[in-house]
Amino acid sequence: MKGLAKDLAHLVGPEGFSTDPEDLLVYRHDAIAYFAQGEPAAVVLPKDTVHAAKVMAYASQNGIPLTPRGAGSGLSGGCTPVRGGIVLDTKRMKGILEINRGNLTARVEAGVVLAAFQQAVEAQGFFYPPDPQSKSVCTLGGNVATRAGGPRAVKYGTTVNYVLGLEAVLPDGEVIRTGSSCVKHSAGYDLTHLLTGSEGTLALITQATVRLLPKPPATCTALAVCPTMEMAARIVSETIAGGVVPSMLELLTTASLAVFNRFVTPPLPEEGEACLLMEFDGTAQEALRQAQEMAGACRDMGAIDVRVVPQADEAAVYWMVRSRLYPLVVSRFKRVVTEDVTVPRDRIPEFAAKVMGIAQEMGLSMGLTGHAGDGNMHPTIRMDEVTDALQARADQAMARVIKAGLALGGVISGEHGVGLHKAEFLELELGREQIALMRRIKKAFDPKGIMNPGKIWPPELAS
Amino acid sequence: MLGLEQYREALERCSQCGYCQASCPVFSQELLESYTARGRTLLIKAALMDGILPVGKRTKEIVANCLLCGTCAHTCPGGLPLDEIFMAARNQLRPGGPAASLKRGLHRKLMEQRGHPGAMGKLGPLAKTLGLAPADLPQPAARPFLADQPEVLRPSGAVRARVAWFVGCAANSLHLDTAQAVRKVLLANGVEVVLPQGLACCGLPALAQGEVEMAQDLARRNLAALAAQEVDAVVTECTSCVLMLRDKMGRLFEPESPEAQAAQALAPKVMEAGAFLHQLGLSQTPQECGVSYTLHQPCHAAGFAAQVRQGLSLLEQVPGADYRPMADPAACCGAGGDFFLKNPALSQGVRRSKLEQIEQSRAEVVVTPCPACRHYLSLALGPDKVKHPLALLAGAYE
Repeated sequence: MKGLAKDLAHLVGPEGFSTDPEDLLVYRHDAIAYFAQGEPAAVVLPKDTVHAAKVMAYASQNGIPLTPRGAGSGLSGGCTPVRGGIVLDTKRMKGILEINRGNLTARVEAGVVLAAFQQAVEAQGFFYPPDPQSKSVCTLGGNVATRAGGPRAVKYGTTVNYVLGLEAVLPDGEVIRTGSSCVKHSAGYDLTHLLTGSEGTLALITQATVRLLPKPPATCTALAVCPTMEMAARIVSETIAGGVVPSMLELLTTASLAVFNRFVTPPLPEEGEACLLMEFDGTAQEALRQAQEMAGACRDMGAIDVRVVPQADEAAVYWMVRSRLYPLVVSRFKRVVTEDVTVPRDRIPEFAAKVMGIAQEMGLSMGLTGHAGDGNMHPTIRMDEVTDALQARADQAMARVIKAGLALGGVISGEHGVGLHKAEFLELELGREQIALMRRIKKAFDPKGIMNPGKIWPPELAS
Repeated sequence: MLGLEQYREALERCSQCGYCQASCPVFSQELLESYTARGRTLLIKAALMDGILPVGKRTKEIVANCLLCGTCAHTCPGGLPLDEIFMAARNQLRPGGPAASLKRGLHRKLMEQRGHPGAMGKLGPLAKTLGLAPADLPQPAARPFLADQPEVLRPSGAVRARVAWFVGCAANSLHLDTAQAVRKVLLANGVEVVLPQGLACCGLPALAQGEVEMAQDLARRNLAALAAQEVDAVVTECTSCVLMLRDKMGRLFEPESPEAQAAQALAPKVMEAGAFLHQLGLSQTPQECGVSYTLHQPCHAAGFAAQVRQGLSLLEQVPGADYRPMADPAACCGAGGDFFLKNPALSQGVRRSKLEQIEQSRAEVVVTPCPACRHYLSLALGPDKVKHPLALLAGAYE
């Protein structure tokens, strides 16, 4: 990498990159400590597509690995530079280029922070539903690259359902524009949705055109404390079967009740095994009616405590706590291993029983939280100490959880992406033939293999 | 706050979620992850604690490039004491050598001699010459406020409460109008005010430079002076003094030490002057005062924002005064004590969005209880446009 700093200064100016070891240290990481497995030679912060394209062409000519990065808030090792090279930090590309009222679309640069974007569209009466819980920091580009989702997926789907078109830079520096801003589009292969979820292994996403919805006029939140995990899971699948579609439906462990109680009054009973946090939207009347019906159903099924929270500011406290639960749990243990298995919603009770059974058999402390309404669960192993033996047991348990999910017709990742974390399981879900086909697609985009190397593929193929 | 090692356990609890990106004013300008709490703590641990990286110029730059606003600590899902970790890092990075120790000695004198007539007048310019105090810091008043005050200020009517008033350094030497306003509104509302002898600077400016031992010495003086007072409350008009006296002083010492215990006993009594008056209730009705105002909430108030709101609610009792809230009163103004003097471009970037909010509020006056925020905002808005909230109330007592 001799002369790298000089070359980069020429390409993006002295302010556009760093090769200082102090900065590089920080860019080893995403939001999981143990995915920091390699150090980059440089971090580059392109201010626009032109800068990004210059750097990519340069990297391609010199065979330098490139690792695209949004906020570094991912949970799968997707943006960590395991083979060194250049980290392409997109956060300085943060323009909201257009909010088109007449077409209900918006065009943004990759580094726009999701919460800032949502605030901007909501100020105009629109709604952009995808809501990964890191929304206060995560970027639209990162969301597109991982097909990120969140609690609202139960009613509104994930990022993939909103992307209409992309601007992307191919590894050789060529800029392509895929899709369109049209609602319908039926010409050619759908490269837009091929790049969506490609985790930076094919190209660098620099802009996205997304669909907007009109903002629902009101929401109403409800919470039910359930004596057993099994009951909570049953309430979820029966709710879906009954044709009620909440705008959010979260299953949380009882441990989270203590966290809620630091912020809400009156306190919730800290008992039982699980709780359900829900939101309904529509007109104020509709939202309230649905919440009350749901609350009634939960009571009938034996919930310990049920409350309906129609006031928006009060409800916001519950959802603020919800979005902080994961980092809070992580900060309380030496290590936390989180999975992202998703199952068809009618299989949630079976899946929950399996997970709890595995935890018990293997003597591990495991929590099961997640976006139950869409079947996306986050079984979480919490370790008070980190030893090789315990880690091995945790890995074994997670492998069993993943296989249990797949056996129920599930998938290995609902929203986090594969990254480093689930590479070894990809073949279990997709099969050898699909992986071989995907590898040929990868080759067509990135013949030199410089884009986010070491990710996605089963370890034996990842070289 | 005795050393970095004390925070090892906290550092190891960082989940690395990166949510600190959402609130850091420095990161909002640079958009480089080294300037987030996650980045800073990873670096501090690697370079200053585990010796994985040598301590170089860049390490010092990243540690110095922090406003110490504490917003990251207040928004951290894991509740890590991030601001204290950064102070402890600065403590470890303090320069050595004779020049540094000369500066340190002068700094200490300035902090200890606060309120001494003439001390600021003489030491101030010397500090500027030595580069210890910024050259464009306004000249302190020749006679500080406290030079002309008796030990006890007595209201003319019935005594409704008795407080010890910790007059902040800024109100004492730079913003005398604030001190006069606070005196006026306290007395007008039947508050007997003790001005304890022997008080020094609260110690927060020392801590910001990593001078933990100096802050401890100042805290000992202040604890001795305040603990002896038989009062209903210890009030101060300065947000940063509230933060120090209420939340930080006890953490300077070993838990269970006599100083920590004394600080713990004092903490519940410490209040922002406006919040105290709110709780007491106004006995003198303010007169009509046709002014529109907006609140800038100082970052150091994040842990006691309710007190700022209570102070503000006094202004709602002023007939004709019109509160025009800005979009985000708690967003940083860029000052950060004297940070803006050392990092002008960065601070101006932060201030720019604050000024836009102020503009959009269409208020005539910005009220803020922090003297640093007031100073830095008034550099952009003009000296009469930014006031202490109680100065506005005092105006309705003409």
